[in-house]
Amino acid sequence: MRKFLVALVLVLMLCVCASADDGVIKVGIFNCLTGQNAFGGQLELEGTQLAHSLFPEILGRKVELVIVDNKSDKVEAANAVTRLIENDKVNAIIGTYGSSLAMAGGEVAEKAGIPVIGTSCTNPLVTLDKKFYFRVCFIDPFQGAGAATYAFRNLGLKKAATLVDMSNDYSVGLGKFFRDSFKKMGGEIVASLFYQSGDTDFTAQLTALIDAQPDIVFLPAYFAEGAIVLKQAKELGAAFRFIGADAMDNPEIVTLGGDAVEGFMHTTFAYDPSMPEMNEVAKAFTAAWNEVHPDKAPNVNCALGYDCYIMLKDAIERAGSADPAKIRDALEATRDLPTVTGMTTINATHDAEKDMGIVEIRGGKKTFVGIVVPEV
Amino acid sequence: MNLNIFIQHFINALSLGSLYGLVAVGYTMVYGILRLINFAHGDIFMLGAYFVYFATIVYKLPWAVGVVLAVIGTTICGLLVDRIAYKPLREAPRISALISAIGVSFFIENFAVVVFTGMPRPVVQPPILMKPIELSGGVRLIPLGILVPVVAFVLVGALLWLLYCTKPGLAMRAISFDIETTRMMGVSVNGIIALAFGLGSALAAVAGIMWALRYPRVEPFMGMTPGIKAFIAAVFGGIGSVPGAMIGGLILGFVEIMSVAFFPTLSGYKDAFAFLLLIMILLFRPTGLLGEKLEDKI
Amino acid sequence: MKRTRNLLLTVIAVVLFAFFLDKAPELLNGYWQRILNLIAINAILALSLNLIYGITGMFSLGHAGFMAIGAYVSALLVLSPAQKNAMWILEDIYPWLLNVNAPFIASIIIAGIVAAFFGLLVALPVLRLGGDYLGIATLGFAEIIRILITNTARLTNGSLGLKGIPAYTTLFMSWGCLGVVLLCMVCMLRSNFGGVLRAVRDDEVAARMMGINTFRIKVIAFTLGCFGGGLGGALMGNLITTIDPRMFMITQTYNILMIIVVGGLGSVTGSIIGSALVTTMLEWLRFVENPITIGSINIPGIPGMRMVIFSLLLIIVIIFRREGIMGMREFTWDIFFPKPKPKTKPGHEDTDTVLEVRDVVLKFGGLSAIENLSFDIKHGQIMGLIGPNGAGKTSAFNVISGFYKPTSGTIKFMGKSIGGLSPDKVCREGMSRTFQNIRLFGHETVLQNVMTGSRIRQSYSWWMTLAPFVFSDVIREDAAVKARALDLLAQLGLEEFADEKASSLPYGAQRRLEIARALATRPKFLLLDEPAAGMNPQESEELLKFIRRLRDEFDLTILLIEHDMKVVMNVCDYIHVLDQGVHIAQGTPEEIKANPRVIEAYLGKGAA
Repeated sequence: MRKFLVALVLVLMLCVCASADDGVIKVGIFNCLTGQNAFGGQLELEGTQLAHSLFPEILGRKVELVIVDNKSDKVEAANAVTRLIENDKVNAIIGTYGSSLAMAGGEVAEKAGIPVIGTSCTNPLVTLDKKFYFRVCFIDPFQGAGAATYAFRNLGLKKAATLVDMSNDYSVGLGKFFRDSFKKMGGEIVASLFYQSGDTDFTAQLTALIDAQPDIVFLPAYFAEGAIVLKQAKELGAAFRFIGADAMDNPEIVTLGGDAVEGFMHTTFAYDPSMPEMNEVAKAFTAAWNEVHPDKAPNVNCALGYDCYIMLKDAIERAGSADPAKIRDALEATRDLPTVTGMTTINATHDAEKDMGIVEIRGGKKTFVGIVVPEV
Repeated sequence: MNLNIFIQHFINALSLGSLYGLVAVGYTMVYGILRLINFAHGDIFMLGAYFVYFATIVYKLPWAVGVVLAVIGTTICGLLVDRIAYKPLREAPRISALISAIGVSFFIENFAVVVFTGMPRPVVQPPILMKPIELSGGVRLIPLGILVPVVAFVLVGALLWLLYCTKPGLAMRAISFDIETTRMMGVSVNGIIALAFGLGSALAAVAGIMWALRYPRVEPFMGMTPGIKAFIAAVFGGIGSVPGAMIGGLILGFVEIMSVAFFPTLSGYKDAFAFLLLIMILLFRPTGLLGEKLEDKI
Repeated sequence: MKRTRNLLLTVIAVVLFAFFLDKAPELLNGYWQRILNLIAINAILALSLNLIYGITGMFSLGHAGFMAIGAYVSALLVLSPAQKNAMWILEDIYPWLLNVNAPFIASIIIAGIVAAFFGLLVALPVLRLGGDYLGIATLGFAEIIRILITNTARLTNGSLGLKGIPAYTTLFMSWGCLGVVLLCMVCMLRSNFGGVLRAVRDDEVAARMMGINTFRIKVIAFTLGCFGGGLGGALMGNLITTIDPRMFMITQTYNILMIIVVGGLGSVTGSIIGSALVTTMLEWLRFVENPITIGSINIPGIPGMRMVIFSLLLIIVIIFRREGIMGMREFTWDIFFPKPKPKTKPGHEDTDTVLEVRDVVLKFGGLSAIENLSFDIKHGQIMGLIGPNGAGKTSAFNVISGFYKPTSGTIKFMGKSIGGLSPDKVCREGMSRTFQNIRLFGHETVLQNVMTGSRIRQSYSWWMTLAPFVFSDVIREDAAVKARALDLLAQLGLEEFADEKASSLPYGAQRRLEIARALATRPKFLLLDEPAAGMNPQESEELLKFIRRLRDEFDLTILLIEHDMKVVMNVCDYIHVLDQGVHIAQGTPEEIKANPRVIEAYLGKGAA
C-alpha cells in the first residue's frame, strides 16, 4: 500500500500542468483523432483549426486551442473533457464526432458548467436535459424524415427498405425515423436488414434485399462502409437505388466506390463545394480551405468543425466576455447566424435548425441537388 | 426464397468462407508450431493490404509486381515482429507472449494511424476480375469470387505438402510436438520457427490482399474483425490443423450468410449465431473438428 | 507478533489512505480524482479476472461481457422512470422496467449477483474446456452478451446506450468497494481454500487425487470472478454516467488482462499496482499528443502517438519482466524487516479385505489396456504390481483411483463399489496416490502442498473464507490443518523445506513431499507409482525402510508399481505380474522369482 502511495504521489508531481494565462481564451477540442472514428474527427479538427487560423483573436484576446484525443472511446472521452476543464481550464469546448462520445463528455462539462458545441453528434439524446451542450448540426429524426420525404415526394418511390448498422446508434436512429416517416407518407417498407460495425461482407443482406424488390434502400452508414455496400450491390446487379445520410458525405466516397456510387444520393448539411449559390461565409471557408489543403476538397465535417468555431466566436463577441456562463447564455440566444452550412438558429433543445441539402453523385462528382424540407 | 436467390447466397458464402479460411490458415500455422495465439495476425494482414495500396495506387506499379512486393514486405514485417516481440519470450509463460502479441497489435494499429492516418484508402481492382458473369436466373458471379477459393485451396494444398512432404515441414511438426527434443536432434529450431512465422505472415499478406480486392478499402483497423473471425474459424477446425482452419472458415462464412438468408429479420444477431455454433461444436468436440485430442498424461 | 505488527501497519496504511481520500477533493482536481476512481475500478476488475485466470488458471477472455451485464443492471436500477421515458426514443421500454428502482449500493450488489448468475450459466457448460479453447468460448459468450444487449432495444435501449446515470461512484465508493473485495479475496486466498484454487491451477490431476472436485472449484472461482466483473462494470457505468454496448468489446478485456499480467499473474498486490500503473500511464502519456516546446524547438502533437508509445512500453515491460512486476509474489510488510528464522513444532491417526478387483477390463477404442484383472489386497499388506513397459500397470492404477472408468468389471474398496467414481470421490473414500512423473503444485510452498491435501477433511464451506472473522471455523480449522501438515512434514523429514517452493526441492524430497501430500488426505490405502524411479541404490535402500515405516505408523495398506526389482522383492508381501494387459502371475516374492512366465515376459521368449 505504501509503495503504491509513493508511486501515486510521484506520478501526481510529474503531471502538474501549467495554470491558465488570463489574457488568453482557451478553447478545448475533444474529438476522435485515433480509433474507429478517426477519419471524421480529424476532418472536423482541421475545420476548426482553419477557422482558428483565420480568426486567431476574439475580443482582442488571443485564442489558444487545446486539442485532446478521445480515442473514439467513451471512457477516454469523459477523461478528455475532465482534463480540458480541470487541467487546462478551458473557457469553452468543441466536440465531437460520434454521439456516444459527446454524451460521455457532456456529463462532465455539464457538471463543471463549461459550454460545449457539438460538431456532428446528431443523436437527440446528446442535448437532452443539458444546459451546457449545444450543436451546430441538426438531429437524426429531422434527417431521417428528410431522406424519406425526398424519396417519396420528389422521386415518387413507393417501396423502400433499410440497411442499418445495428451496433451504431446513429444508423439505428436514422433507419427508424426514415421508416416511420416513409410509412406515414403512405409508402411501404418491404425489408429492414441489419449488419454490425466492422462487417465488410454485405452480400447476404444485399441478396435478401434484391429478393424483396424495393425501389429504394435507405443506407444510413458511414461513408467507408457505405462505399463498399454500393460496390457489392453493383456486383450483385441490384436494381434499386440507394439514399444515405450526412455520414456518407466525404469526397473519398467516389475514390472508394468508383463507378458503383454513380447515382447515389444522400441528405446532408447545406454545404458542398459544388454548390452553385454559396453564402459569404461558405465562400470564405472554401477559399481558405483550398489554400491550406490544395490536394483535398472540403466536406461537411470540415465545414461543421469550422462552424463550431464561428458560432463560439459569435457567442463570445455578443457576450462580451469569455466567462463560460456568459458564453452559454449567448450561445442559447444564437439566431440566424450565417455559417458555412447555412443560417444557424439554436432552438429550445439546443439543436441547430438549418437547411438540409441533397447531394447526388453524378459523373463521378458530388453534385448539390437542392434543399429538401422534411415532413416531420 | 427461390432457388436462384439461394444459389446466389451459396456463392456469396463460398467466397466469404474461403476468405475467412485463408486468414485462419495463417493463424493456425503460427499457433500449431509456437502454441502462441498471435493476436497481431490481423494487423499483419492489414499491413499486407496497405503495401498493395502503396504499390499500386501511390507508386502506380502493375498489379502482379505490387502483390509480390506486398508479400515480401509483409513477411519481413512479420519476421521483425517475431524477432523483437516473441523470440525473447520463447521460454516464458505463454501468457507473456500473448500480452506481447496484444501489445504488438496495439502498436501496429496505432502506428498505422500515425503514419497512414485514419482515412480509409481505396484499392485498385483489376477490371478483369470484377466483370460479373451472369448465370441463369439472375445469379451473378464475379471472377474474383472464384479466384479467392481457388487461391485458398491451392495455398492449403501447398502448405500441406510443405508440412508433410518436406524436411522443414517435418521439423515444424517435430517442434510443435516437443521443442526440446527437436533441438537435440540437431534441428535449427530458431530457423524453423522463423520460417513458420515468415510463412504465416506471407499467408496473412495474401489474405490481406485478397480481402482488399474483395472489399476494396484499406484502413488501420481493417484487421480487427477478420482477426477475431479467423481466430474463431481456426478454433472451429481445431487450432493447429491447417485443413481444419480452412473448413472452419467455410463453416463460419456459411453460418453468417445463411443466417441472414433464412432469418433476414434476425440479421442483427448474425455474429451471435456464429459464436453459438462455435460453443456448441466445442462442447461436443472440445478441441475443434480436426484438433488433436489433448490427453492429460497421468 | 509478526502478524500483529503487519496488521497494525495495514490498519495504519488504510487509515492514512482513507484520510487522503477524504481530503482528495481539496488536494486534487476533478481530473485526478477521476483517475483515482478509475484505478480503483480497474483494480476490482483486475482482481476478479486474476481470481479466474491468475489464481485458478482458467483462461477467460469474457470479462467485458460480465462488466456489460453489471453496468446495465445497475444503470437500469438507478435511473429514474422519467429519465427512462425520455431515453427510449426508438422503441418503447418494457413497462415493468420503467418503475424498477433500487438505491445505488443495492444496485451494484444486484449487478454483481446477476453477472455472477450469468457467469454460472456460462461456467457450467464451458469450464469443461481447457486452455485456449476455454478462452475462445468465453470470448464467444461475451460477444453474444454484447450482441443481445445491442438487439434487445426494449430492455437496454440498444446501441443508443444509456445516459444520465447518476454519478454515484465517488472516491469513497470505488475505493470502499475495492477495500471490501480486497479483504474478502485476501482472506479467501490465505485460507486453505485459496491453496486449493492454486492447486487446481498448478496441477488439476493431482488436485483431483487430493479429493478435490476440481470442476466445482472452478465453477465457484469463475462465478466469484464474474461477480467482481459485474461490480466493476456497475461502478464504471456510474462513474462515466453513460454506457453503450460498444464500451464492452474485446479490447476492454485486453485492458484488464494487460493490467494483471503487467502486475503479475496470480498476485493480488500486483493487480493493484498494475492497475495504478496502466491507468496513470495511459493518461500521463497524453502529453506526447500535445505540442511540446523544448527550448526553441517546437514539436507538433501527433495523434495516435500515445498508444504507439504505450504499446511499446507494454512490450518492453513484458520482455524484460516476463512475470510482471510482482510475479506471483505478494507485497508484505516483511520486506521492511529482517526475516526471522523459521521454527517448527512436532503430534498423529480399518475390514480385512481393503481392495477387491474383479474381472476388470479397460479398453481404449479397440485396444485393450487391461484384460480381466482380478486381485484382493488385505489390510496392512504391501502389494507389488510389476511387469515390463506397456504392461498396463499405470492403467490399472488409473482405473483403481478413478481416472479411467473400467470398461467392465467391479472394484470394491472397503466393501463399497468404486468402479467409475471420479478421482475426488475415490479419494474421499480414503484412497490416495502418487504419480510416476511427480505432480506437485509447483508454485506453492511445501507446506501449502500438504495443506491442500487436507482440504477434504475440513468442514467449512468456501464462502466462509470470504469473511473469516465472522466464521471463526475457518481460522480454527486452518490452524489445525497447518499443525498437522507441519507434523507430517516433520515425520517425513521435510520440515526444513516447509516455506520453500515445491518445485525447488531436490528430487528425492519431491517424492517424499508427494507422499506427505497424499497422507494429508488421511488415506487408508495408498498407491505408489514407481516411488524409486530415479533414485540411486542408497536412496532406494532408504525408501524400503520408509515404505515399511509408512505402513506401520499410518496404519496403511499399500499397492506399489516398481521397476526396481530389489525394492519390489524386499518390501512387498505379495506380487502380481501383468504383461500386455494380461494378469500372468501372482505370488510371494520367492514364487515370482522362480516363475518362468515372468522371466519370459521380462526377458523375451527362450530366456527361461
